[in-house]
This record gives sequence, C-alpha cells and structure tokens, in this order.
Amino acid sequence: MSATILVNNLTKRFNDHTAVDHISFEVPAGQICGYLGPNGAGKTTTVKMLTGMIKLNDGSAAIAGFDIHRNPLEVKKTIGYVPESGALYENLTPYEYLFMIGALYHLTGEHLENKIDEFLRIFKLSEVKNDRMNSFSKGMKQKIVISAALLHNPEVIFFDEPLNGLDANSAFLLKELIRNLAAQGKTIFYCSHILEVVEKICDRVIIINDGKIAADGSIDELQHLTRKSSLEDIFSQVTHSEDMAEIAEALSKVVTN
Amino acid sequence: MLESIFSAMGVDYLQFRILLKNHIKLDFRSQKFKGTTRTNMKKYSFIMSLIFYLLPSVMIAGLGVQKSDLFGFTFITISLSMIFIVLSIIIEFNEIILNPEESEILTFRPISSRTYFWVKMANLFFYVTLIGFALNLPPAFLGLVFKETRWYFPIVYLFVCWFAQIAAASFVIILYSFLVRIFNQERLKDILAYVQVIFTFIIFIGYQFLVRLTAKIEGTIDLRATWNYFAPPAWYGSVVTAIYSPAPLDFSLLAGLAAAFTLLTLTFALRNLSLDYAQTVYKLTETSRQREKVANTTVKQKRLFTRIQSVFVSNSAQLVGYNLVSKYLRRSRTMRTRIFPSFAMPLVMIGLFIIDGEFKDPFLPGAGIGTFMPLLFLIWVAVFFYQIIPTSDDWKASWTYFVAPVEDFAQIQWGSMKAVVIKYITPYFVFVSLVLSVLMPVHHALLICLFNYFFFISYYIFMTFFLEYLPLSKKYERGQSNTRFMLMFILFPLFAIGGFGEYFVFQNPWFIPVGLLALILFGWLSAKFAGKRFDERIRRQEFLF
Repeated sequence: MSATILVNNLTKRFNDHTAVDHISFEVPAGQICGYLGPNGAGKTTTVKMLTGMIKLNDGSAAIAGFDIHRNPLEVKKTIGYVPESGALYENLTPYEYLFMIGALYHLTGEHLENKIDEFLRIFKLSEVKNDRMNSFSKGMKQKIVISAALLHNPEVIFFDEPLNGLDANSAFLLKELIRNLAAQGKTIFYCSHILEVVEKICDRVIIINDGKIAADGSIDELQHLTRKSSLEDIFSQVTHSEDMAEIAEALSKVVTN
Repeated sequence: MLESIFSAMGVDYLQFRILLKNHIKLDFRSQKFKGTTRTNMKKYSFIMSLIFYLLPSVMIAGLGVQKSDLFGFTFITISLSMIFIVLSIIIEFNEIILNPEESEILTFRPISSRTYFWVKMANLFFYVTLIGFALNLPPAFLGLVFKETRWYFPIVYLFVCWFAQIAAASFVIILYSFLVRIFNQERLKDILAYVQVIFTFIIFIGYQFLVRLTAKIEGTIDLRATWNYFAPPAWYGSVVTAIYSPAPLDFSLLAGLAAAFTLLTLTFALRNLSLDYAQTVYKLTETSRQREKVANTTVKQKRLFTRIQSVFVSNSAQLVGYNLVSKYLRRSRTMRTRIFPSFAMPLVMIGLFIIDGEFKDPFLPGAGIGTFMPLLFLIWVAVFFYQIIPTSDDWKASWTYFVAPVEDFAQIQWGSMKAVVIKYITPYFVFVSLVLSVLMPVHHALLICLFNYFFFISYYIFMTFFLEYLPLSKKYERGQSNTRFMLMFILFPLFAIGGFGEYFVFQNPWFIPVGLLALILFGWLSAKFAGKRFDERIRRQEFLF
C-alpha cells in the first residue's frame, strides 16, 4: 500500500519550547492509525501541522502525495478534520453551516442539499435543521462537526477526540463508520485519550511523548515489545507514567484533608 | 462576469460569496444585535452607533457650512469621517481582519489566502460603508447650500467619501499587517495592544483639534498651503471641489494624490497583503507557554500584604472578585487595550485646555468652566471600567460563580471594584495630582484630585444599578467601544452640568467637606440599594432562586 500520510522529521517550536521534535512516520491508505500521548505531548500540534493550520519549523510532510508546505490548498481539499474544540458557527443553523462548508469544497445544488439532508437524518438532527446551533447540546454540535468533516468525501480524515459529547449509540455509530470508511480505502488518523476505543478500532498505534515518538506499531506488536497485555499498560510504560495507584491515594488524602 | 473578475484577482468567487454572506449573517445574529428578551427591549447597539455617528457629523458640517468655503467644508467633513472610520477600525473592527477565533473552523479548509483576505476586507468594507453613510449623509446634503454646487452634489460627495474611507481602512489594515510581519506573535500581541492605545490617543487628539480648527476657520483654507499635501482629507476634498470649480494646478495635484493614495493602498492590499494573509492570521493563533513571574516575597511580607488586603477586602466572595479582576487587568491584553486609553483622555483634555489658555487653578477667582470640563473626564474613566470589567475572553468560565455557594453576588462585584480602585484608580489620581501640582499649589491639586476621586468612586458604585453581569462573565461584543466613544462625544453637553457643580464647590471652598460628605453618602446609599438589586438580578437571570 502506498503511504497517504508521509511525515519526515516534522518539528514545531514555540519560542524555546519544542512541541513536536523531529517525528517521522507513514500511514498507508485504508489504515486506521491511532495517535496517543499524555496531555501536552504534541498530538494536536502534529495534527494542526498536517491539516495546514500551523506552519512547521523543520521537516516535511505530504498528504495524498501533496506537500503540506508547497501545496497546502491541494492538501486541504483531500482532508477532513474533526477538531478537538468542536468549534463551529453557533449562530448558524445546521443546514446553513453545512451548506457553507459544502460550498467551500465547491459542492453545490441538489447534490449538496441531498447530502446534508442525509447526514442530518442519520444523526437524527432533521427536526432541528433550521434551529440555531447555540442552543444545541455538545453531542448535537459534535455530530454537525463530524458531518462537516465528511461532507466532501475526503481521502484522509483526522479525528481529534471525535467522541467528545456523543452518547453511547452515536459513539458506536461513529466507530462503525470509521471502520467502514477505512474499508473503503480512506486513511484515518485518530487522536484520542480513550485507550479502549483506540485499542478496538485502530490497526496501528503511535504513542508520542514530549514531542517524540515513543512507540509505533500494531497493538500485537506493542504487546510483544513491551510484554504488557493492555494498551493502558503499554501507554504507562512507554510514557514513563508514575504509579497511578500511589498518586490516586495521595490525591484522595488531599481531598479529604 | 463577476466570477472572472474575482478569478483574475486570485479569489474563488463561490467561496467568497458564501463566506461573506455567512459572516454578515453571523454579525447580525450575534448578541449585540439581538433584543434582550428579558425586558423585551430592542437594543441594536450597532444601529445606535450609526445614529450616534450622525450627530457629530451634523454638528461639524453645520459649523463648516457657516464658516468656510466649499473646499474648507469638504476638508473638515471628510476629516471627520476619516477620523471616525480609523477610530472605529482601531477600537473595534480590526477584529474582523485580525481575528484568529475562527481558525478552528476555517483554516484547514481549502480557502486561498486571497479569498480569505477579501472576505474579511469585504466584511470590513460593509461596516465602513454603513458607518460612512451615517457620517457622510448630513454634509452631503448641507453641501447643497454652497452656490457653486449642483443637485448631484450628494451623490458625488458620498462617492468620493466612500473611496476616502476605503483607503483609510485599507491603510490601517496595511499598518497592522506590517506589524504582524515584523514582530513575533507574542511580542506582536503586546504591541498591538499598545499600538491601539497610542492610535486612540492620536485620533482623539485629532478629533479635538478638528473641533478647534472648525471653530477658528473663517473664510477660505489656503489651497497653496504646504500642509494640504500631507493631509489626506484635503486630497479628497479637492476632488469634490474640483468638480464644481475651474481646476487650478493645486486642485489637480491634490486630487491626484487622492487617486494615488486610494490606488496604492488598495493595490498593496490586493497584491502583497492578501498573499500572506493566511500566514498573518496563523501567527496570531500560535501561542506559547507563558509563565508568570512569582514575586520573591518573604513570609513576613506576605503576611503584611494579606493583612493590608483583608482591611479592604472583607469576605471570601469579595476576595474572588478582587483577585480575578486584579489578575485579568494585569494579564489580559484585550482588557488592557480596551481600558487603558481612558487614562490618557483626562490628561489629553487637560493638555488641550492648557494650550487653549482655559485651564487654571480652580480655586482662583478667574477660573472659568474651561477648568472643570477636562477634570470631568476623570470620572469618564469609570464608564470604561463599568463596561469592560464584566467582559472577558474567558467568559465561558463564569459557570464557576453559579455552582459555588455564593450568598450575595454583589460581594463579588464589590471585590472587583475594590481591585480597580485600589490598584489603578488610586495611583492614577495620585499621578494626576502630581501633574496638576506643576500648575498650582500642591494642596490645591490634592484637593481637586481627592474630590474627583470620591466623585469617581460614588459614580462607579452608582452605575451598579444598571449592571447586568458579574465580572468577566460576558462576551465582548463588537460595537461596544464605538458606542462608548460616541456616547462620550454626545454626552459632552451633560458634562457642562457636572462642570458647574465642581465650579460651585471650588469657588466656595467651604463647600468641599460638604461635597465630599454628600458624595460618600451617595456612594454608601448606592452600594446598599444597587448591591441588593444586582444580587437579585443575577439570581433571576441564572435561575438561582
């Protein structure tokens, strides 16, 4: 399989702080790649560089054969992105928002309208399609953000904590959707803290710590390498986490003190 | 047709159209344009600002018609409209252009830098056109009074003014973008805050200068004067005048400058700026870790500080308001940008009145109303704090107020006001008294500042009657600063009443203790009743009963 995401020595510095430090990896078409790391490890910074939201300092990256530095517009046409913030224009209605997003990808007319209607129907939002989103729950907004990322049938999809706010049924639907999309040849880059989900749906996991890649491989490979049985234990080991039981005990003492 | 023009400019027409349409839609749907359902009153703050813009325009145009020829008239009125447009962009509308807030929604979409830039510029030009229309309408019709003008003068005037304002707006944006290019993002954010403050001073002084100039102009403005070539309003004024008079060389040269200025600013924006625009906005989205310096204080010092603080801040709810507002005033650039210009205004006014020869020691018999007018600007500072302290970029965190067992929400407000008064207002009045002591005996300067200090505090407390939000709990809405500035100009006559009050007190010094006692009593009563009302209002709003 040819690599759809190709990252070579990617680096991002904010003043004297290196958020992403010379990381390299490749993700082939049709793969679901989990991207894990503790808070502040550099996950979102990596995704922001790959989606063209922030400029990289060193290294290079290509998405679907387009260099993110030289052909940013071509890259952006190929990708879909569900940001962690779930930001959208809340004073628009779902229909207006999705119509605007569709038009930005040059989707117009009946084709776009039908597609929007289908997304809203499947996510059970048809009844509120003309209501402003500022009164929506977090889960409802997240469904719109996900629809907006998939509307233009992207080749590569970046998910950053996509299950935020979704109820159990919607979360299940999304996980199934991700599997289906990967089966159709789409490349999925999945950032999350929910290790159980990553363990279930990802073909491969990259763990990043302090801006550097700490582990990279399939769950089986990582289990074999670290001699740990669960992703949680693997994660603790490669990110050098302290003994959580001890920390929890100390914390409970602080609470009851 | 349109598509090919846009395409030649490197702009994607479909994207441009849909984004502009939605940006304008969003502006009109945001809180500032919404009626408050609670009181069922329609508060259209932007529409109100437009009405406010009409008033100074009528005043200046009226004076211009009486005192000047056509060139002088157009010079004065175009100056006013350019000053106000620049002021609005500096205070409010620069956020349309340099606002990284929507980066999470749009920056990963396939929108070219040029398309994005022109959406933003068109959005800005939409406001410039609206504000410009309000500013230019009165002079456009008053200009018909001049015998050389014809029936189509309003059309010509509005058209030229529109170009003048678009050029002025583009110029400010170019200036901002230049700053974005040369400074790193963190430094830039600080610099933008202070540049905004400096610009506001300059434009404010410019406006005061214009009012004085208009009052002093008699007859004609000399076309051959060299300064005309350095004043853009004179260039655009000469375009209007040239249409109605035989065009001598000077008019042609000045009109040529207008054309060149418009062309240059637009071309520069179109070619260079639009190409790097996305980069410019990205720079503003990048943040780095900011570590607060921890003061190197000893345990003894800390204890002393806590003891002093507990004298002023009497309970934990007050302490919350006090600490939050102190920290945000120190750390939030946007808050500083919005409040700090107010500190310079009284000093600017005192300076201008000194230049006019009207500011004197108020205790001396010769002191006229001109002495007291600038002093009242000290009170105006309270309006800035009143309007800005409830707003914050972190307004979404205000839920913490409502889950905590707060017995009286007014206490949080009093704490925040104490932070303002202790940390900013007290040192500021001490500084002003030092400035004034250069002009008059020290005890006179101190008494003036003491009186105005109590005036400030009681007025600040009194305004709590109208307050609807806890500190830092409301999103800052565009249009708010404009309204504040316009109110300042419009309420100017009301200041005269306050001026007479101060005049009476200082001309009869035995009234000073009485006046001070009256102010303290007024403040105390206001605190008692406004606090109760404020607490009830917040509980009702948040369904906390």
